[in-house]
Amino acid sequence: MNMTDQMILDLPARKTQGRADFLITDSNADAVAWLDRWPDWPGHALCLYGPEGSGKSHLLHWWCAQTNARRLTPAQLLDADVTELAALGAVALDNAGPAAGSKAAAEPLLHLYNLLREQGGYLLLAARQPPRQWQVSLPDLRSRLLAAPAVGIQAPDDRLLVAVMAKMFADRQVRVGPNVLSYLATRIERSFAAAETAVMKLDRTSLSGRRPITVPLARMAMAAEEKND
Amino acid sequence: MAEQSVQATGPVATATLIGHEAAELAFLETAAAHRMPHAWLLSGPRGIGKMTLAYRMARCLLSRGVAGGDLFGGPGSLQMPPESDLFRRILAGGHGDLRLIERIVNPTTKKLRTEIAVDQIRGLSRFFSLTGAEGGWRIAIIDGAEEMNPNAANALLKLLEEPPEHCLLLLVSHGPGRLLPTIRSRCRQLILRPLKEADAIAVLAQQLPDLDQHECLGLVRLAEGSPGRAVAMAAEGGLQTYGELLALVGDLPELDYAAVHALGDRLARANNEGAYRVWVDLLRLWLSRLARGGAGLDQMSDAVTGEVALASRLTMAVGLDRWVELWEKIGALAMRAERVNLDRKQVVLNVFMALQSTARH
Amino acid sequence: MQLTIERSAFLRALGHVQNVVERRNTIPILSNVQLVANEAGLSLTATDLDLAIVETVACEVRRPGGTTAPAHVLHDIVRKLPDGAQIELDYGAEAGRLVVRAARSKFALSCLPREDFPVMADGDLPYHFVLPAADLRRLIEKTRFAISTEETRYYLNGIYLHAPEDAPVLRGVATDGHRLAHIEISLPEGAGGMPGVIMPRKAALEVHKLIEDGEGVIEIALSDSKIRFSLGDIVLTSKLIDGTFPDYQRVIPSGNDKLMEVDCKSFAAAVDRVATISSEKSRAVKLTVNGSTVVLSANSPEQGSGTDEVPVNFNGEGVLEIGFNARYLLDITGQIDGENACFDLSDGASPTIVRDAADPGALYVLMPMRV
Repeated sequence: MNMTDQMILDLPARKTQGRADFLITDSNADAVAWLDRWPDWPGHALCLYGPEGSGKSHLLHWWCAQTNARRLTPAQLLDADVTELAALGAVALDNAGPAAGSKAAAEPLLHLYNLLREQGGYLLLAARQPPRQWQVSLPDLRSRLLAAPAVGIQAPDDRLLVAVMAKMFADRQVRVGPNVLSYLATRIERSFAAAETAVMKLDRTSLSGRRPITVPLARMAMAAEEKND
Repeated sequence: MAEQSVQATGPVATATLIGHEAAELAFLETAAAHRMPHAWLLSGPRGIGKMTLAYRMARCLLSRGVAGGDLFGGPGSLQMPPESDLFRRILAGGHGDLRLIERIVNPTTKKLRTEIAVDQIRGLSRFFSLTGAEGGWRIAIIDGAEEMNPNAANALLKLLEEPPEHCLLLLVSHGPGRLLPTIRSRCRQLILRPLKEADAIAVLAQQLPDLDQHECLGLVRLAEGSPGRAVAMAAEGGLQTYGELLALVGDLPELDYAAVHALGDRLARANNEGAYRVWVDLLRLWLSRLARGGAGLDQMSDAVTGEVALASRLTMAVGLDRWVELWEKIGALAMRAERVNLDRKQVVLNVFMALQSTARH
Repeated sequence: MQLTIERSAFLRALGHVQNVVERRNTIPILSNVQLVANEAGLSLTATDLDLAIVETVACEVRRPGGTTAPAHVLHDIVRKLPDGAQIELDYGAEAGRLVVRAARSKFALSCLPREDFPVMADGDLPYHFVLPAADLRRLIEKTRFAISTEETRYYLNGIYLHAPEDAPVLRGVATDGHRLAHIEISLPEGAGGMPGVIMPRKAALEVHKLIEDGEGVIEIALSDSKIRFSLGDIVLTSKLIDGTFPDYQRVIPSGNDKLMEVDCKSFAAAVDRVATISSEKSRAVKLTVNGSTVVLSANSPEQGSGTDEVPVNFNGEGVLEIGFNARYLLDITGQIDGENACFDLSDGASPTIVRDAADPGALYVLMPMRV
């Protein structure tokens, strides 16, 4: 059901990403602690793994800002000059699992790993699965990855979901009450991605219908979503 | 030249605060550490200085700016001279960065609303979404926070969830139990206690300098550590009424019915509704003091001469539970009288008969 | 304070400042206008705590000083005094009262102390520039309709005024999420590098009122927390909206290649006629562009249907159907000064750009409705 047929301008939400904005609960405390400890790491590489929307991206962003690291996607790694990258001293790689498993990216990744180690640089790898589950066929790379410490982020708990959604709404500069947040938290899938979708959906429903964000509106937005699925 | 500021009394006009040094210190330390929470909840009985403290906190922050800077009056003090510009502007309601929310008069019925309405809190939300007028903190004081209706409370929760930077809410409440738990849990709580006798006397003497010492002590004891209540009682002639009441019940279970009737006639007169209310309140206060004193819960001291002796005589003669029961019964009677507009003299007579029957047991 | 002032000049100034004084005020000092006399003349200040207006009027000051008096009462008194009267203001002769004398009339108004009057500290306003009053008036007039009035999104409750890096212009943008107005005027000297600020709706409307005939220039001074407009003897200072304006550039489409040009007046009239039918709640009007005409149609289950037709120049192939809120279409066509309105269209679910053929600095974006 559509509350209104008025479509809305897709105005981007303001996004603030910094360590102060990262909310810590049991589900992510380990990862935050590891990043806080940088550069006091046992090796020069660290793997960060957790389900989609668990906040890896946000942490990576923060770490890169702290360390002036370059943040890369696997595709960017293929195009980059690895020597130049290593000279930066710190590099973060998204989707590291598939990258390490791919034929094309495994070589440059191994090269980057070695160069960073030689030059005293740092490498942060983010993926959905822990390194032991990555399908790495290049034996040298595989052994190195398994040797690096790996820290997991779990799916968020209720408290974290509520806090994260409060922050997401705040990023959108809309004020919502805790009743709306707990209503959403108990009805969405346990992930930051689901939280983000729910917040976006509710924000858009409100903007389209020019209505304040309330529990009844949330109910309506969620019902509309189920119907669309 | 005699220009008078409009509101020359009340907490907004009070420069000093006595008896809440610990609470002030907690606030000052928080401010000095730049760890200001988004909201404080100042709770405690009526008339002990909660609003005075709220205004002192507000003046302090508004004078310092967001960067901190030196505290006026030196460290460890929230004192600000009443002749300063900031003090005067706040007193007149003319500070662009401070809002007061309290129950207001309904413009259509001209009566004081029974609750704080949601449009008032929405106004606050608008206030917080604009930049400051004087470049520092933006502060709102909510007096009687427990009087927010459910919609207002929910609107406030939205503000408490992710408040803008350098915005501060000061909630003041004598019934914090009636606040939503979610509101309480989002505030840093400061629980203010009734004042020690000497402190309360000092405050009362400051506010009513013409009061004699004896009267001052009596009022403070009757007001049980709340100078605000003591001031109100002084204005209503409370101490005298209390003395008269004690004289009437002094020989219980014997009663001078001629005097009781005279009292009833007086309180029943058309223009004496206020005096009647004061009298009912004081009667209930007497019974509660009697019961608490008798139970040894409070160290009781004479508010008027002979009070303690009378209390111990009555509570020895009749069990404490009977007096507590009577306190409840009279409270219910007074409420019913209010609702159905019972004849006030009839209420007075009923009360004394109940007193007599309790005392005879 | 003692001075003599000419009635019409005083009335004009009082008329300007009393505008911001709210009629129902629980705080007495906010009902008052501050009067201060010094060598510059008499300055009058009124405020609602969100914005303040100060106007200075030449007069003959015999004794400097100042006080505050009830704004509406003073305005009403001066209004009722005969034209051409010389008014004497005396504060100090009667304790706590402002004596207003003209010919045989005499009033003594209760005053509140000047020290109690609110301060709108403008502090440090590092950016200032001068622009033609007509430019600012145009910028406000053509954006104000798109300002959101919905308080949930307070950051849209104003006009985003900024000097973009990509062009030498001063740009005003307003949006309510359904449509967007984007107005540029030439960049005044000194405005480059200013921070983008969101000017609250009320400040924009007050400044617009003060501009009146649109002659002369306006000086704007601002910081990231305050904006000040100086128009001759009048100075308006306002708070800003404490929020971040969204990156609106992202919603202005660049690939809309189906261009429809239409006579603005006849198009608006047709929209208005057809909208009579559409249900009050949605007010949807469907546009069917086909070759050289646009057919406007509206349907309502209760009321029936209606169509109208307007000739257009259209460069697209085939038929394009798109629905809009009739009110929004009329709002936008109402801003267009030229004869023709130009629509840059893509498809029925994408943002549409509307331009004024006579004004390259004006651009509007409108989201369609599902029809």
